[in-house]
Amino acid sequence: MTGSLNVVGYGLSAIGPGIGVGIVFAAFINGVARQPEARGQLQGIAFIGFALSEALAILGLVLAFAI
Amino acid sequence: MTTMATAPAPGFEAPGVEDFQLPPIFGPVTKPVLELALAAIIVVVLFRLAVRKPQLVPSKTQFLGESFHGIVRNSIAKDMIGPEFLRYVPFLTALFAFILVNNLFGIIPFIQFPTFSHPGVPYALALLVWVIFTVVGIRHHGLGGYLRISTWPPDVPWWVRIILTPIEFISNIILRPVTLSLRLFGNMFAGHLLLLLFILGGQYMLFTADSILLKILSPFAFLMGIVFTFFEAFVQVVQAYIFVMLTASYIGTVLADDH
Amino acid sequence: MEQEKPREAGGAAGRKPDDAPPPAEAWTALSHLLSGILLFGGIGWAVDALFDLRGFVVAGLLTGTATSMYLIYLRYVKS
Repeated sequence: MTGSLNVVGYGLSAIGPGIGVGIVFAAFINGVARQPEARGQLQGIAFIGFALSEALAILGLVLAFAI
Repeated sequence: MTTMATAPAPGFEAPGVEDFQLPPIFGPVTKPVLELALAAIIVVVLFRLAVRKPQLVPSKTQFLGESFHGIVRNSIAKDMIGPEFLRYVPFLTALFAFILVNNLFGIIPFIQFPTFSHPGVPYALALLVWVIFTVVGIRHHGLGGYLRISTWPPDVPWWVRIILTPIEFISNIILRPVTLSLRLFGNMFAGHLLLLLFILGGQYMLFTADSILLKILSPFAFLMGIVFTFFEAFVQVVQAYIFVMLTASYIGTVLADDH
Repeated sequence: MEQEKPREAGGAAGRKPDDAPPPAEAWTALSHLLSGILLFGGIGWAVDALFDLRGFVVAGLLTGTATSMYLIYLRYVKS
């Protein structure tokens, strides 16, 4: 069995952002369900949160190949 | 699984990329090529059958065809594209049907190979989509207007714009078709690999391994294979839907009037 | 009252260009993020490779992340 240990590390580190993105959109759906008229405002905040946690996953992906 | 087989039986070899390099059937024609042709034939024949004798009270095939068309028209094109959506519905419907049939080939018995698990095939589809939304954008806004709406962030000072415009250009013009095809390819590839792992692993545990414990446990591997086959059916439908929805969203973005 | 027309299906003429339903928008945000990180990370990597330095990759990646997030803020929050 051969392979790069970096990729295993990346797989482990992708768990965190995965959970994070799930929580962000779960909260977004909850918020829209409770208060549909706040959708526009919530959407912007949800995308910032999504981008913030997804950035960690992409940084991990790039660094897994770069280092 | 490799560590559990301590007996002289050969170790389990996990399926990999080489399992996707199928041998040619005749000449340069391989199984995915035949599947693509078969999918095109299936789509054309089914839709011809559906509209052969249009009636006010639809027959069963007509009802199926019409409801399929209705899903694409009402829940994808109308929401995503906006007022001029009717022109793009035939293309989107055909695209959806073609991708759906090709994906479902992955779980239909005796075919069982999703065409899009070869990266070249979704790249070709994404190239088609890219050409279409670029041409639509240029015809709607002119070349300068198309570039302006896709690379010009609104209401920022000029020095910020210097930094942001390259990012927007890469994101909207180069990365869009790439991510579109990579998403489809990745899902099909990983799903097929997962099914191969469960079925080949179960086969190995039942027939090749020496340990009696592995032979007893092998039905669970097959059971997981069956469970994941149904899960794959779900993923395949969702991926076809997402591909078409993103295509419609890109067309809608280049048709949007201003930011 | 507002409840006559569902907000999700507001695909008719009054729709703002940035008001598409969330899934497609989220993919676009991801693509913005990717392109910023790739662009600035690539520049950092090129500086490292050309002048035989270290550390510009990380600096470029962080700059790219910040820039992309600012772009996402401009596109989805401010407008």
